[in-house]
Amino acid sequence: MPAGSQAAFAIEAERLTVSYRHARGVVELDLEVPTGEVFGFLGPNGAGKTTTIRTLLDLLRPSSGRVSVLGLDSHRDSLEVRARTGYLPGDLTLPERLTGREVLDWSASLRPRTPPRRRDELVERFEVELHRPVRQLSRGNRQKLGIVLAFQHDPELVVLDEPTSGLDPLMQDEFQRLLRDQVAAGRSVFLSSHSLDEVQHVADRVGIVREGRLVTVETVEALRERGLRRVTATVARGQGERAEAVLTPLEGVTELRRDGDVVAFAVGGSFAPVVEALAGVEVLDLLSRSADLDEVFLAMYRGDAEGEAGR
Amino acid sequence: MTLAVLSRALRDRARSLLWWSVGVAAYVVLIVSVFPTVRDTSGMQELLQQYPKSVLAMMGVADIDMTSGAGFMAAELFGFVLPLFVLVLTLGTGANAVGGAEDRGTLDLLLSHPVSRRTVLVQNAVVVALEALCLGGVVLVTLAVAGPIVELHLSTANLLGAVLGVVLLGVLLGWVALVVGAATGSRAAALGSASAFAALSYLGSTLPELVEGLRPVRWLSPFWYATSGSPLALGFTWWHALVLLGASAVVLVVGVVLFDRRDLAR
Repeated sequence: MPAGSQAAFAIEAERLTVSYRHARGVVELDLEVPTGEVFGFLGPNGAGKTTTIRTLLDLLRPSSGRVSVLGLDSHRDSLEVRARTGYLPGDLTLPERLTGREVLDWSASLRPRTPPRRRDELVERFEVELHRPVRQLSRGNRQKLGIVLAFQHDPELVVLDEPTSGLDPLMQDEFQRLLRDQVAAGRSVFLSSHSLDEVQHVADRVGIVREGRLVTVETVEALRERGLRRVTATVARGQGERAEAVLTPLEGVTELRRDGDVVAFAVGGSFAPVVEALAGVEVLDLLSRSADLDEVFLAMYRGDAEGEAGR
Repeated sequence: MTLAVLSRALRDRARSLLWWSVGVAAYVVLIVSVFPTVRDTSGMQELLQQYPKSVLAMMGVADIDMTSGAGFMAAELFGFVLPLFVLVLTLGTGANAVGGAEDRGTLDLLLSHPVSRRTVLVQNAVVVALEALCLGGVVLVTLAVAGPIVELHLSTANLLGAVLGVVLLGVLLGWVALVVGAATGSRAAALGSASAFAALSYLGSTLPELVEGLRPVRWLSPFWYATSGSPLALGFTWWHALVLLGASAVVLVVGVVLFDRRDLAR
């Protein structure tokens, strides 16, 4: 069990506004991250994700509103918050001359209650290079060191800013397992990213920020349903026109283009009508990928605009 | 309270500090070994007196008897070179400690640990002070060993006072660099402003010797408190130490307040 009393919310922001230098920062953000959950914090670069995270750690101060972490005030109780939180910065900068081991020792010396066994386990799990100076490490190896730094004191909450950048796919899987372990132990994860792919396999729910404001909080499934898929269908010679004809009337299909026997289009909502419609066509190849986040946003805003127009 | 910030900074600085100590000791040995030649050169003092007084004052050797041990060491070591050594070291360390860490991006990681900004600033201030003390100690030891060999004898109390003056000067200006760095997040701003302050402060201690109208200016000059009144020959004015210490304390307190209120750059 985590030390101390457990708050219902790992993070709770109320009308949080942070103006940072001349950047937009965060505007009247309301956010509730329940304890024991992986919460994905998604948005394009510059949306205010990092500003929010750095406010949790008291590196930035709210201009107005408040935010509590583990039930504690982010500024007034900052030392306690930071003792019980792990942090992996987005642009991790480690002391260049220290070796991996020295970096971990240094961090542990600043956190008196760091259990050594936990660290050894993490070092082994992520195959962390301990003996070479940081300046000789590849980006991926630095990132692995950063992961151990964020987790080695067994924190109740970890705050991760674009954590898998530079990690190879094997390590990304291992990292996702680590996050699931964390949640299984009743701890919480706040995972910021600009890519849906990075969070969709681990997050329970996802909050989307854009231009400093929280646009929506949804489960990953709901988000995927709202999200577009980009489809490219290659059909047998001469059947391109027919494919175009059966797809055009479908409600979820947009941006339909045909180039000979190749038809490209976007699908929103359920995929089933598309498959049914194409049953009568000889399909040679069907390529489908989830639209990237910007496209999801666009679809979402289009939806909002239509909703308002209809009212 | 944890001393982790202090011990990490000391280990980071140890190697560089060792080389600084070697350099300063070598310089002191060199100067001391030249002393017998200067002492035994007839007409040296007469030669010096033919220079315009303003030139001597700018060189920091006005009213100094170069053929006495105290006069020689004041001119060759304590008036300018030792303060320069100490200041280059403490300004560099001070500017690098917080402003430099913020520039490099390592401050975020440090302050994501449960350590207060005040602790970070104060423990780095201690590092700056220890570095100045270390160089002061090296000078004392080297002079104590090498001086008697060439019959260069200095009053122990005066020597301690002269070293203390320079050490406190280094602490004050090093803390200015530290605090400007912490208040702005910029190593360049810290180093630039503290260097400019040091240079002005040097002028503020030497120019008033020439220009009567500038005399009140020297009250604002840390250099004047540290080196005025021939501390080696006539004794250190001990209340000057209190002025330097007091100013250092004020600078540090202001630094803690400013650092604590700031948004940190990424």
